Amino acid sequence: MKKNVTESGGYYLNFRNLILKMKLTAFILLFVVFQTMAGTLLAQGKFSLDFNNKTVEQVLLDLEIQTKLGFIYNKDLLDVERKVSINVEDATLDDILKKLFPSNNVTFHRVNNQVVISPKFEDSKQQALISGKVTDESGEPLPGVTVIIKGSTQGTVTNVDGNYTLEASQGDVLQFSFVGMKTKEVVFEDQTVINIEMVADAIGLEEVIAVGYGTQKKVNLTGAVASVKGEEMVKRPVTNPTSMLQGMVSGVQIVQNSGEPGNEGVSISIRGKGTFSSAGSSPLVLIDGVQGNLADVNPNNIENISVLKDAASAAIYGARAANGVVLVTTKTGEEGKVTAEYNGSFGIHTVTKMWDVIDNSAEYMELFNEARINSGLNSGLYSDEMINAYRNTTDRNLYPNTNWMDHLFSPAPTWNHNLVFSGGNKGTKFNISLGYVDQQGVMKGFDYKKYNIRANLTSAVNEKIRFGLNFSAKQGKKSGARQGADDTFLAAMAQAPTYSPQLSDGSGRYTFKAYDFESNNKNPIAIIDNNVNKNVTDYVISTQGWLDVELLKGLNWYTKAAINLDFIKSDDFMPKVPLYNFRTNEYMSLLNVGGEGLINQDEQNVYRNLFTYLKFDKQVGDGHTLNAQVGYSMEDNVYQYLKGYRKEFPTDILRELDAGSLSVQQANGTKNEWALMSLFGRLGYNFKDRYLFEANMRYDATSRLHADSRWGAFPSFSGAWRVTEEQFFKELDVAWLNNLKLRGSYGELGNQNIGLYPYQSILALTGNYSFDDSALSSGVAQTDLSNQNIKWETTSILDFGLDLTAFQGLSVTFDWYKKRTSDILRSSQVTALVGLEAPTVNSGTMENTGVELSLQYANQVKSGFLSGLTYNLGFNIDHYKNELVDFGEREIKGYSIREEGAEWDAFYMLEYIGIFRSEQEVQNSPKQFNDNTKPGDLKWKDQNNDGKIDYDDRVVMSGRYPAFNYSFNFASNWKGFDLSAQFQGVEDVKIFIEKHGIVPFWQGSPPLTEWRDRWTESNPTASMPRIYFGNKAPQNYRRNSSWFLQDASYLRLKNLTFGYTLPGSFTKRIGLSHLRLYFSGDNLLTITDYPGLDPERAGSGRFVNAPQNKIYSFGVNVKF
Amino acid sequence: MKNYILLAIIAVLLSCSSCNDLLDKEPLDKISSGIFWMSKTDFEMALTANYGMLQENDIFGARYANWDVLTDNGYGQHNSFNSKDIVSGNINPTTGGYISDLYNYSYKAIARANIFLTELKNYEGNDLSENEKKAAEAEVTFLRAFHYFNLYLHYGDVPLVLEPLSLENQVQAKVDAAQIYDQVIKDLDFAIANLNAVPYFENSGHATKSTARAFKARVLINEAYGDTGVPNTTILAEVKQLCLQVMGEYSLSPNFEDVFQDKGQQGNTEIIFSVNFLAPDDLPSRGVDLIYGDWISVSPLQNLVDAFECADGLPWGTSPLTNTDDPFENRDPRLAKTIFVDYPDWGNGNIHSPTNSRPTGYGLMKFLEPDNTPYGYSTLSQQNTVILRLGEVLLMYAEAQNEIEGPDATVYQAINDIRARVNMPALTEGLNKDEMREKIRHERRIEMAFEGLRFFDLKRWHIAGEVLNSVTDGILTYHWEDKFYHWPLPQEEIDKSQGVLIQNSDY
Repeated sequence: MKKNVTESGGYYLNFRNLILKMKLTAFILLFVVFQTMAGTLLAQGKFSLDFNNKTVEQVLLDLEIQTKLGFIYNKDLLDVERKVSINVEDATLDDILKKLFPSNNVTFHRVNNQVVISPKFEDSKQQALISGKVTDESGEPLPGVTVIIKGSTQGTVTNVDGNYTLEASQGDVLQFSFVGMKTKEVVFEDQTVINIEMVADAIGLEEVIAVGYGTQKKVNLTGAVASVKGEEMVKRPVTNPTSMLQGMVSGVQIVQNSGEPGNEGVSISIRGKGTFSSAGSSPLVLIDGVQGNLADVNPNNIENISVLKDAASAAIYGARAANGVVLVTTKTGEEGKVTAEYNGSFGIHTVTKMWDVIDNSAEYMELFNEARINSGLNSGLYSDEMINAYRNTTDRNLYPNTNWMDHLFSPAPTWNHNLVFSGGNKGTKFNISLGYVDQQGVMKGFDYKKYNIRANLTSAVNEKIRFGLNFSAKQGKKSGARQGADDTFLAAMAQAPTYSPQLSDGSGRYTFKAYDFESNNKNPIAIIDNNVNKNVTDYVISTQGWLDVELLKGLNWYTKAAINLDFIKSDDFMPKVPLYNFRTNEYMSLLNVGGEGLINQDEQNVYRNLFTYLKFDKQVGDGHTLNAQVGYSMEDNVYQYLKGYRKEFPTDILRELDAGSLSVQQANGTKNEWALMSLFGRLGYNFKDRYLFEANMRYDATSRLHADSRWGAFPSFSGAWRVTEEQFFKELDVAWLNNLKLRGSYGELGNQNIGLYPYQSILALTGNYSFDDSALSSGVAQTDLSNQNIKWETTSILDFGLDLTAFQGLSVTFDWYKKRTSDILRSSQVTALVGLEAPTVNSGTMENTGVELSLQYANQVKSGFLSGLTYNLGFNIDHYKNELVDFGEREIKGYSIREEGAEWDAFYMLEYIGIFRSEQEVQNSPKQFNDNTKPGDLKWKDQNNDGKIDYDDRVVMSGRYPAFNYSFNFASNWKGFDLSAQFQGVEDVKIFIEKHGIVPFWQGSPPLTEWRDRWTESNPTASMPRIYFGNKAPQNYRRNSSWFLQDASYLRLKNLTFGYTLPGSFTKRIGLSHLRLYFSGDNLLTITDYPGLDPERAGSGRFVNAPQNKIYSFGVNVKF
Repeated sequence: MKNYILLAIIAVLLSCSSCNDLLDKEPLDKISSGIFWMSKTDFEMALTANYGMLQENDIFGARYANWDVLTDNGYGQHNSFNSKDIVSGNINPTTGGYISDLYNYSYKAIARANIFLTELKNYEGNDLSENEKKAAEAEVTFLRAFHYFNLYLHYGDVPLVLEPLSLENQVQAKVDAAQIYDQVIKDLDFAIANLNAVPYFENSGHATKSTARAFKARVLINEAYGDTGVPNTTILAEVKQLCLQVMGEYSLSPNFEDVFQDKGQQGNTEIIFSVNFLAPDDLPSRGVDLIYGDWISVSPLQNLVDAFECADGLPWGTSPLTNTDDPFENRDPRLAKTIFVDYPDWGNGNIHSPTNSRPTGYGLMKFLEPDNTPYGYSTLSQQNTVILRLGEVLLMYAEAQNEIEGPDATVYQAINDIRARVNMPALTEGLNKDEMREKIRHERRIEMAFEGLRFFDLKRWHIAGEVLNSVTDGILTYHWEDKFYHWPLPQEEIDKSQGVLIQNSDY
């Protein structure tokens, strides 16, 4: 295989395969290091050749096959088009090469498996010694930079301090190259010192990124693949790596639902909601090629993440890839000096926003009365005496104005420590890391601790056989109130300000209301202080072993086996906590902890995967490159759990099952399994990097489908045209355009998460009944209608894209796609008459059409005060439209409708058009249901103009899916300082909100302060309607209407990082090679119209939703 | 090199040889249909599940009392089964709540019964005798009749399904209500003929002959009033006969509350049929103590409280015993046993402070268990839900006999027995038929309050509009139209039937 690898052109390298995933620059480094070995025995063994009138190149090609060596030469300097005839038997390679180049004007050097053939230099030229220092943009020395004299094999590498010395002749071109940096060339005239500053290769033309079962040069991709570097992600001080991907890739929507430590509820979806089957829209996440959970990975271990968005790139994962694939590659060591690195940070988390509630007791009480009377409730009112007691008191201890949120939330610290040891030599490389996160919740009692260990090892038996081990273990310990953060939050919301969490007598006893008629939820402070906790510890152990054998030149056999173990252990204790009336100190009730006793649960999941493939790569003839890959994979999964419960415990201190009484106890447990078996293959063709074609095929069989239909084939085809590689284009001399590639792809994918046994006819153990009130009889009933004839649902994606790089710094990626899922495995629409749960059938089609645009620009300021400033700007935006193409009968569920032609679960409700300002307006408007509508009530639109408002006036409203997602970022470096910012936003999305906070006095919750401007007879122009009392509010307030549909668009400063890297001269003195101090802030600024706490949440539902965190974090990065 | 290739091929082949084993996964905790319906035990378990069905959805289980919030008896603050929409007259095919749930639930129960009956008919095993088969068939036909009657009562014309349906024949047109009624009677007659002849309290919780008779009496007494509210005495004569047969087997529980509280329900001679629960493993997801005692999901209305007589048998307000300062003093003892003020108080400091608000100031005492305080999520409420009891049968007898013969001694006897149990004075002698009718209806409202019968009664007497449209203390604005005598069929069912299932005419 030949590749044109330098910008100047004409420098051809023949090397045997790409599986070494080694970047070219690293390779050059190697051969220069080993140049001292040049001239030694080139190859052992004897070879035979018989060629007549062939070019030297063709002879060398044949020699490559025989010798398993690669030949490197420069076509400009070496005439390989020269025709020769050669006929030898059992000759050594040295002899053959001498015959091939009889004029004795070339030299041969063997470097590892490469043979460099270069012309001999003329001795007449004057050689001089040059020295210099190579630094990066920030002035830091760069060790390991390859410096060669262009067109020769002479060269060296910079040392630890970035210094080099080299002999060169006048007129020589010195070429400096380093991984991830733009190659730089300098002409040697008469300087004795040449110092070089290297610049990062922003457009990444040479970048190699991970694709399914392998790697690919980014320029040669035919599919829609985006990649993100680990170092970009870890800028954010959050602890969940999934959140870190937010805003990084166009077309990938990441939503974090909550700021609860260890339970952020982060969802990833690629190109929208792909299906309405239970299979869901989560992409397949592969960690080093094996299914895993991104949240379990220590973000510091991530080398890069590739997102396979279209069918062409994802089809090799077939039945698991309908929602796209996220490939996570973890870091390996580099050969060379062993390095140790420490990363640590300390952060303070606060909530992004907190409610502004009416926490003045007297005001609350008056509003409470008003709301109750408005709701037709004339009992259970505060008396004037009670209200005055609060209003006029001088003892706020006895008559408090309690803000319950203040009791529940406080800024909380997070510590993060990471230690990495990395290095290698003689073919063995390692990267070993330890990570520790201790995150305390801004909501009291919610804490998370995470421990990560990872060891990635690679070694080789010989030059042909390499093997390795990736091992990782994680322990996550999550503790918090048993019913979760949202529940605790809403419990705090549902308390009156008229009492404190504890009695005013200082006894520490917890309260239950001040007055009997008040409504409330459980006392959240009592929950937290008494550790009414569900503590969950999970252990994720992932082990992978792999073997890579080079069978022939260009043919490799790769095998990986993996076992992932996941153990989740939880204990859930429900103590008895007495509550007392705040006014009378009398015992009232037990704290509602949702039960009594202890539940212990042990869950275990064992996932195994073995895959093996052959990969072949070969150049045939002039410029034609073929590659082929074929493989086999099997995986299976066994999940089981065991759960025990006892009700009565002698004390709240003993929290183990054996401490409980045997009188009431329960045991539960079960096990389930699935398995998948697959064949896969890939065929690629590349003509001179100009025309690229690829076909992928996966053939999957699953245990989830009946044996007759369990095999599914998932093919894909893609092609690309690199316009800029065309001869005619080169002649146009459009220098500003560095690369232009047009892509197109089509493919089909499956979705296997369709339940474990969807086709089997199963009788449920249900309907147990106690006839005689003393013994329980077991019931068995058929509850489901089964359907054996189900097959795979299919997602097809058509994608057209464009990749462009220009001005040596601007890169543009654009994609248009149509993603269509048909034969959706969904519950059939069964009439109630059948009386059984619907069977799974293949029916329904959903379509997402979208566009994605990503812009990156990188530049360096060359002169002026800011000289040396490097910066890059990025912008991502994506839009998609969801449409339910084929569904069946429409279904209305609450405020959502599923109807053909509309988006899935589109909002469907009455349209709110204002507040009735007067009795006259009520009279002159269409009658609203059978309601007793009064001035101050919500007014709905008569959509069908029939003169009355009823449910026929519900309409579809937009906003279930955003109009677009976008993000932009900025990063810069200057003299050791770095500054970066990332903004992320969602536009035109709505959420429907309910209960506490939006309906005042829901479970007694205090109204938000905006209710001060509510409709009353004396304030008819108010912004808020007439106030009603919680769930006693009449239907004319409560009906699903767009009054509750809120705009949740936002733009937020996701991250701002400012860092300073101390000068190398200083760090060296204290024995370090690198020292950076930084500040990183998360969610510092949010622009939104959303009236609630945080517009960034999983979707519609309760108004109360644990908000995200605003983080101020300080950190240090040290390398030894 | 060739060795390597060979090795690779072998490896691939080896891993493939276990293909079929790998991919054949069966559920490990469920029974697949191929291995069921093979023995007597299987049929016993399937029969159990037909009874267990009664607990599902809480419609006739833990939330049975919620039916009374559709009436002048109570208010449901939590809008369970969309009671608020139904009460305010916002009833249409998409209302949901009872309107869709009762329909779906009933057909689910009917399907379970039909599957059982079909499998039983096809069963060839010899471990079930013909008599055992008949008995099992009779129990399930009784249950099927129970469910069809609810459909008949609330929707009128509905599809008649007597066999298991599949995807192919899942769409069925509705049939005339009379056909549903005939099927109910047919199933009940089969049940009466083949069920055990012992009383329910001696039959280990299985339906008996008398259960089917009592239920048939309820079906017929409804039918007797037709569409007009004027009783057909021929049908009532049949009701009377059925009641007399049942009355001979049962006797009133000495204590009123024993019928509803766990301990008193054991072997209670008054209970003719109940939905049974057992702690700790067979309980409703939310127990009655939590629902009524803590959540106050059902709030009795003031007009019902006022309807309870004073201890002297005179109406509250008229009676000299009326005490407006302590309204519960000197009242019909059933008032305090049915309704609590502010919070349940069992005496001796055994109280429970409800966490939810009390919209009317009242809560439902009748079904609570004194020993279960404090009421919460972990309360093991195993009280059975009483579906049929002698109290109702006596009142049906009195009602039928009064219409047929007028207020004779047996009518007085039936009512006075009920009143005497709670130490209420006997009815005044010499009432005429119309006066007695009012007394019986009043007694029914008091005695059977929150036992799910008030809505049934208002409909069959055809006084729903008159009563409900005059409720003024209901928190909601009540609105009744006569078309509500039959609810609409759920819109989803109309949609799914592709034009075959026709909506009830008024909707």
